[in-house]
Amino acid sequence: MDIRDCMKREFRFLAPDASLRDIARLFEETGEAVLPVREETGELAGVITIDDFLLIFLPAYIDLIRNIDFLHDFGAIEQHSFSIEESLFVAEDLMREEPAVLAENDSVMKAAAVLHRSGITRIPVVRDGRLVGMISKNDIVRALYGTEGQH
Amino acid sequence: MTAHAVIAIVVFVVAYILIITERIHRTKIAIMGGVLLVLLRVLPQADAFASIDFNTIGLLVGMMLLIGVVKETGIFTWVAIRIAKKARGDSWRILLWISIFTALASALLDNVTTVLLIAPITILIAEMLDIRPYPFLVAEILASNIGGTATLIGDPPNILIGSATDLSFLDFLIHLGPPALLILGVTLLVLRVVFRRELSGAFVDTERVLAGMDETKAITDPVLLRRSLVVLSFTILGFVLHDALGLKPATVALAGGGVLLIWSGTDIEKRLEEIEWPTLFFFMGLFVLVGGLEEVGVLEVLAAGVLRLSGDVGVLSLCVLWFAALASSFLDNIPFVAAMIPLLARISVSLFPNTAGLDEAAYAVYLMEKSMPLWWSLALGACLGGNGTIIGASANVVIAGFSGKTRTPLTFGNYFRYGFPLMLLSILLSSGYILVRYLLFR
Repeated sequence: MDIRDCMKREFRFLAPDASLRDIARLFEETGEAVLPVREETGELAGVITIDDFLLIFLPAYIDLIRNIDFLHDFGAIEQHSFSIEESLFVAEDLMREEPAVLAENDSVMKAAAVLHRSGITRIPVVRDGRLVGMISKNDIVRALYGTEGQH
Repeated sequence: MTAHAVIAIVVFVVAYILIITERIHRTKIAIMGGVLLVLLRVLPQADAFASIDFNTIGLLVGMMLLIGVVKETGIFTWVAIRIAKKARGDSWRILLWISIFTALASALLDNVTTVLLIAPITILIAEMLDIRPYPFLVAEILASNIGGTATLIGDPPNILIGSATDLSFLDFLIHLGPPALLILGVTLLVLRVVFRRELSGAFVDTERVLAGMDETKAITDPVLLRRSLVVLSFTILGFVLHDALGLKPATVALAGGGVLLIWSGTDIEKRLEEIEWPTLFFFMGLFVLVGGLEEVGVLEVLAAGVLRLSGDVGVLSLCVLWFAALASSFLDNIPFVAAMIPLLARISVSLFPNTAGLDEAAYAVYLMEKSMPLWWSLALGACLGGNGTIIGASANVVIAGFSGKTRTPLTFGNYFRYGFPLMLLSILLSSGYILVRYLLFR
């Protein structure tokens, strides 16, 4: 079975200059954990994961502390809004460039393997560099167990 | 000068320059340098291996094993939160007690591990209380190097000196403890004045913020913690008694490490991963390099040269103190001290020859007694000198790395403003101490 049989051809994407507010809104509206960033020409620019998005709210040193069980909240840090630099972030600054991609004629098993290796849950499908679809772990489960008809 | 002497000097100097420039890892250079001396037949292989001081290596291994367990227990986080709570969020008192704890931990464990554990939680507490973290980080750097000065096991230069001279743990504590305490006290007073603005009160509800931290949850494994603290306490007691018991420090450290390996019940592979192999091999290579210099008699020539400048132990001690301090501010103090030790040993033999015809053991005691100011000057200079710049000691570099993730990173320039003058002050105080205790009332 090829990817073209189970990928989503209808998907929403971000422009490279989308603001933090735009990004947050699209995460909220779609409920997806990975969003593609598309150039005006239709080429894939990168992907933004919800983890990367949330990370900018956390102070950088938090990963210095291995065990944070002792923390209920972050005190003064919680009241800090973004610094000026942070509020200027746009999609282009947050996105992962050159993310793992798939082609329409790749097999479903390969898609599962690439998703597993890349560590993200949704991967762009491209044809000649242009974004033509998105495939998620859910799409693959559906394809393999035929919950949408076929089998 | 023989061809062997020339080779030994060239290999040593080139290795030294490469270590200083840090383009290639120091361990690689030390190993290659040591091997070169054997390859070029300056040292027979047996002599090269014999020049490795396994008392130093054993002491390091034993302490690394112990520290590897202690560091997983979460005790440092627990202490830091307790301090913040006891101080009721008062930033000066937090800085004071965290610094004292850092100094104490650095005296008993190694400096890098201490700051590796204390700095992140300090940064977190400071940011939670809305205080800038850099005064705390500067204080921790200074406290850790000062604390490390106080004991035989506190800092690698002291381990090297202790191993080479047979000065005991208690000797170090009695002779270096008082100046370390004095310097820590003065440094903290100066910091209080320097940082008075940064430390003038937090602007958040400290009670609520502090209540948001539950230190009991920081302890990941209470059983392991209790066991490691028991073993650590007995090991330190062992250090205090090692001379009286006729044991070398390495035996004590390895005994502690060995007991904890069995008692902690953790996987041996995991425990051995905690050992810093690059450090151990660096020491081994360095010992061979210095062994080469000793073998070819270069140090006698150097010692004679130094003695032509002055034959007075007081003048020489103060020169060693200041020279060691300035050198250690910018360079790695381990190779510096490793090379200075055999040099000082020869100088002290020339200064205090066995004119009374004492037997070997009695002369060794006499020599040690007489040359003490030289050794304590080297220890104070090399350890405290590390405070001079942000690259002066490994602990400084670790803290600078952490500070890069805060709003106020420490750089060479902004640390220098605090570190260098305070280092000079500490060496000034040390000079006074050496003068008063060893030279005026000898």
